[in-house]
Amino acid sequence: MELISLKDVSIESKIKLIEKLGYRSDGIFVLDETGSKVIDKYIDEPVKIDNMFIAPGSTIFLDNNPLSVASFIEEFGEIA
Amino acid sequence: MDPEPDPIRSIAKGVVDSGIEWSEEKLDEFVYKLKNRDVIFIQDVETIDIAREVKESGEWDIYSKYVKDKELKILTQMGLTLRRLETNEEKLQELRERIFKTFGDYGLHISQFVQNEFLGKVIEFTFRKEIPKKEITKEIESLLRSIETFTMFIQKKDNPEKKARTILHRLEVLSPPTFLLCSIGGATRNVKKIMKILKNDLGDLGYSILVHSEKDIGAKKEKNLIFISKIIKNGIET
Repeated sequence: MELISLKDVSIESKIKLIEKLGYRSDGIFVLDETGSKVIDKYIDEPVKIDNMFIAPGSTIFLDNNPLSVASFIEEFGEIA
Repeated sequence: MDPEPDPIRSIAKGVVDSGIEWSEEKLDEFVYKLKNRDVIFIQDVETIDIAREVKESGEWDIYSKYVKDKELKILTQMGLTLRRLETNEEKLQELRERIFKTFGDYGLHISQFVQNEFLGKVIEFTFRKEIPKKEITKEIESLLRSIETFTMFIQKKDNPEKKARTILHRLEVLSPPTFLLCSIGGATRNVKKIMKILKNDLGDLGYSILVHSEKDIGAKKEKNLIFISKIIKNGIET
């Protein structure tokens, strides 16, 4: 599986990406179609557009932090 | 000049947006790949690199054989991650706060227990008890889950008499099979004072002591783990 870094990508491009996935942004947070903040289920916090981890499988949005990433790997298996 | 439809986005764009711009074709390609499970996007690739390093480590290979509970597995991995972040104070502190926010003191203490290499000693100690294989996970997980009650992290600033009284009280009232005392560096002197106070009483309560002290060559700090455990004679706790 390819890993793509979002570090140097513009906010505008990140927003366009999530829009193509059916999501939105207010410039800070990732929002679902109802306008509610998307919550990282492992840490129960909203996901920010400048610190995302986007995985396939019903498009999972998480915060880019070691706890969320480790929890994702435990639940869904290794990122090959 | 065409008005921007979304004022918030345009402010964000103006203030922070100087990064790589993806074309429509590129974006469509990424969406296709994501839907085919061929790609993952992440702000900082190092986060995944460290997670992989932890999962591929020999240490995790051993721990994962005996730590089965989902939450304890994550906390153990966080302990190994904390150790890898020790050279980056900012990320180390961020992760500590993240663990505390999600799991509280209990979770943070378990992770720090693992970070300071005490879990390996606990596993070794458990093997020495010669208990059936199927009981080993139960024993180790029980020790981790009861970390707030039956493990004490001694610090330099602690009052040895007060700590000794607390330990004795817990041993008398709760009678755990094992009580752990942990210390790092300068706190070791305090631990010695505590053990001196406890020595006679421990025997009366039916407990023995096993000291594990480690100072690796080149290591910054000595680490001590003291096992205060119930004496078992002929398979029966005394």
